[in-house]
Amino acid sequence: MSEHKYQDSVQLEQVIVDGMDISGHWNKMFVPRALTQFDISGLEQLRDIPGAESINNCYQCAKCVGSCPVEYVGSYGPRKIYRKLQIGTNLIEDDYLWLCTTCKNCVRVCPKEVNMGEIIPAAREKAVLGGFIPDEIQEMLQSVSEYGNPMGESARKRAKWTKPIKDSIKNLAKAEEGESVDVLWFVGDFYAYHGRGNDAALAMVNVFNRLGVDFGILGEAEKTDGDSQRLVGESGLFEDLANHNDALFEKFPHKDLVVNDPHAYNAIKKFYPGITGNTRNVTHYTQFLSSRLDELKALMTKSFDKKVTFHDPCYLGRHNDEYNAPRELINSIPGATFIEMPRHKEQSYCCGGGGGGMWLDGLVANYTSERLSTNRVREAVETGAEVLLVCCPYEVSRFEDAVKAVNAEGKLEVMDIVEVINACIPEG
Amino acid sequence: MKILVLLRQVPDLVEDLEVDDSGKALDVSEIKFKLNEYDEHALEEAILLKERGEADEVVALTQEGEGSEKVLYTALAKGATLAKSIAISGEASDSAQFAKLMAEAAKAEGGDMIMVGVQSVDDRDGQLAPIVAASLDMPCISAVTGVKVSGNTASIFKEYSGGIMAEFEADLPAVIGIQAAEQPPRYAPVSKIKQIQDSAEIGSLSASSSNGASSIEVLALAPPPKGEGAKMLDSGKDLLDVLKDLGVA
Amino acid sequence: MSDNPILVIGGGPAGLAAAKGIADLGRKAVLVEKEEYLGGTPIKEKYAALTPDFRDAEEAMGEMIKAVTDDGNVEVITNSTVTSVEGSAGNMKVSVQNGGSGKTIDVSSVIVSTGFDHFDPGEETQVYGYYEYDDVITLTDAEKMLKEHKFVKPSSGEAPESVCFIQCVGSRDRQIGNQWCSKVCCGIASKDAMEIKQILPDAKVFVFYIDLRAYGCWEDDLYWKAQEEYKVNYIKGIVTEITKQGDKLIVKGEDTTMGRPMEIPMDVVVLSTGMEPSEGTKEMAGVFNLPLESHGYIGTIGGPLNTVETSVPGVFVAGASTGPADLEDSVSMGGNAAMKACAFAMKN
Repeated sequence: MSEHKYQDSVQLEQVIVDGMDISGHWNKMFVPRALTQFDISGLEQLRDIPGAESINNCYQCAKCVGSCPVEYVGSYGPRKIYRKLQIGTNLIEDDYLWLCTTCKNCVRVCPKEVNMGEIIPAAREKAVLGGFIPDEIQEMLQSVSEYGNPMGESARKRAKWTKPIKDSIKNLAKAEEGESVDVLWFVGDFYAYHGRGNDAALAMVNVFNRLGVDFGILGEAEKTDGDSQRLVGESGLFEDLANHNDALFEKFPHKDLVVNDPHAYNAIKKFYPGITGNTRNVTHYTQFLSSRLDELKALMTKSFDKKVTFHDPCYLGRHNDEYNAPRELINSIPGATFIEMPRHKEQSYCCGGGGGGMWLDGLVANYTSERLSTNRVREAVETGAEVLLVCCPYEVSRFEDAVKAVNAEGKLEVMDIVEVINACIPEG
Repeated sequence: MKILVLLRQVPDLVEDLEVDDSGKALDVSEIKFKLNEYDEHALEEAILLKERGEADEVVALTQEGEGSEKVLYTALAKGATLAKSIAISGEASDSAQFAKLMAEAAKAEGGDMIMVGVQSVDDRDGQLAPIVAASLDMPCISAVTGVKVSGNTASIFKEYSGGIMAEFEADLPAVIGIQAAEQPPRYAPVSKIKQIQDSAEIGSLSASSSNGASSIEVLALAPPPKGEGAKMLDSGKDLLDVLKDLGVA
Repeated sequence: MSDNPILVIGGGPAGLAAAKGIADLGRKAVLVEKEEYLGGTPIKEKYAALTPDFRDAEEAMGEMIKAVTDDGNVEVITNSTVTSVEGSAGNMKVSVQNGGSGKTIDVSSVIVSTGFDHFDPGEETQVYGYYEYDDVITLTDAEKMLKEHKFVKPSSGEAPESVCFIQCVGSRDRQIGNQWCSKVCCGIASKDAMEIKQILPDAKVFVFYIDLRAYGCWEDDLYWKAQEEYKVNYIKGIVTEITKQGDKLIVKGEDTTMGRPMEIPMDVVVLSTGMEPSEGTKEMAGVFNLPLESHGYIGTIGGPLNTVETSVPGVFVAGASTGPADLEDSVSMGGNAAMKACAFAMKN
């Protein structure tokens, strides 16, 4: 990051001059601090990219910096990006481009409507085309284009998680065109492949079944929703994924398209239509279940006597304005005491996984004192809650790691809301 | 300076491999193929040479078949100047025969340097580079991690076990087996591949299998026998108990 | 009730508005102007376009002047100054001097609208080299060029690649004695920056500021517009001094949002010089015995609720003689003063 280049001293690890070893601090030199030019070519280049024009409008009020989740663990924020662009940084080739999690908190507060939610993917698209891609992201993109999921898992094993289900599940991957269901359930990568995601997926199946929902999954035919690929600038891949998934939505008539991943919700609701021309009746599972709250309450007879708190996912909350559905579900959990974290709803702190952050832990670690998820889990622990509830599949693994990082194992459990709901429904 | 890069599609180990009914070969109907990882490095190194101005042309070659177009368009999107698929008549029943077919195609195309991945999941011996070199009477250096070209000679870097680095000089033409490119293979954005698909054409070469029957016969192919499995211990005490039972604690 | 005319001193925007207001109210006005022409500073300093609406200054002021000169109720006396006054409220005898000759006029009340002078950057405690370097100019120098639809490096006549404005020159400075914000310079610099970009789209234009004071609707009409549409770069941090290196000026200071010193080469530096009470304003304060407020402008008695009435009965003020004022302020005060001066004449 250029800030370091300018502000830090330079010292060479090994130097021998005239036989004298002056390695390390013996050859420490300070780089001149004075700005000797406002090289605004980086700003000019960025604001010329369609979608990134609003970067030019920053007037340095710094509201964004106070709201930026990365700033709390490092030095970041649109205001600072803007200034770097005026002193010679080319964002397209800079690590700085990849620290943004696209959480949209700055967009919420920016008086000049500098829209990082649009600027960052537009700039990354340029970076991807130019070959400036962090290794971690490249690997993820490679996996998605090869296997349709970012983990690099076999596409054929996408429905393997269903094995423990006793009753059969309607897997439409093998069904004829036109096979209809009430609910087409877009399971998503983490539910399909991640161990803790599998737990939530199985809980979801049971909740569907107990509610008597006629549902089907796309199984091996489903591919990742593509929102994270869009946000890291791989728009071509996103287009392919949107067309692929939407063709499946078209193939199997349904009343509701239920997703568990807010990123999928965001992509299908807001970005698929621009590509496919089709609008789908997509709902996040918290919305779907809260619409069946009375039936659900009748089923939830077992008490869950714990103090719980809840993390608003950026892509359900700030990006799609849904704060109530998960809270309605949480407030219906028998026995549970719900405590909000100080930063909640519109002000929710980002877990660090969005906008490709899920695959950038290595790069981001070079610029931050701790992971965003760690910062968030500390906040959850401070509320005194015993369970941190989530409704984004990225978060279970992120926060469970963070719980270990803050030595809160045994004190704070991370659970998907659907897991708790399922736990409150007695077998029968 | 013209570099030929030989690209191979190999079984993708993400999928479970199944042996077919003969018990002597993989069940290809169940296999997903992907580009050999080392070949991606060979392509990367070749493109780097071109970008550094040390090579003028990079020609990507692969055996014609399912997926070959995707491999070649991707190579073009990454920076190859030309792509050709090799139609093979007959069948290569072992890696030596395959290498000879590749050599035949390479000879027909003509080039100053032939780059291949040092090995592949279905060729752990790393036969391709040496056999191609032998067939074409060219020098061969394999397990290479860096190449520089100046005029008609190439400086070639390779790493030996124990961290010993060696530098070779080879007269061109030569065959190079790449173990790792100087930077990780680049990513080809989908939009770039699509653009290439609309604008570029894939050429063709042919090679005929005239080597006669393979001198190697596969007797049996089978997954390794399953072990008894591992036992998960819950605590340090369990571990102590196990060690006591074994008489070591 | 006095039928004597009302005297308006100074024919700039405030005085023109006052004279026209008096005439519209059906009374006689005498407008005394020091220069041989009306229009005040926008004409004298050859402004290109008015702030904030970009109207051609000559054209816009020309309309205002014509409205006054065409009005039979207004007598215009140019090339003249008011030198003394006798009598008191309702019946003042004012001496008007024109070159060698003079005359006395009976007036019922007086409006002083003698305006401001631009700060002379030669007095600056900071080292901007206005009188040393040809390419260090002031806002008014810039206006003169822009009026000719050109913007060049004065030293060479070539188009500059980089131009910067330095704000608050001669304003907000206790050491100089000018503790006020001159109110209009941020807006005018933004306007000039846009005009420069219209002429030289490829030029890099910077504005160095302490606080950007584009008050009211100037915020988006000028400041945002300059930044967003014209790509003017605003850098928080003022320039301390200017040196010369080859044919470039080096502006030195601190880029405060980066927290780093800066030494940036520029082709042209524009000093945003502020306002001071004009010589005429000071003279009229003496002639009419008007108390000055703490900054040296003519004081008024009503605080923010009466901006035109002085402590001397029958003497009113308008425009920048009362403190830094933009055009809206000046003409509004001119109208207000006209109304109050007429009312005074009717009562006395």
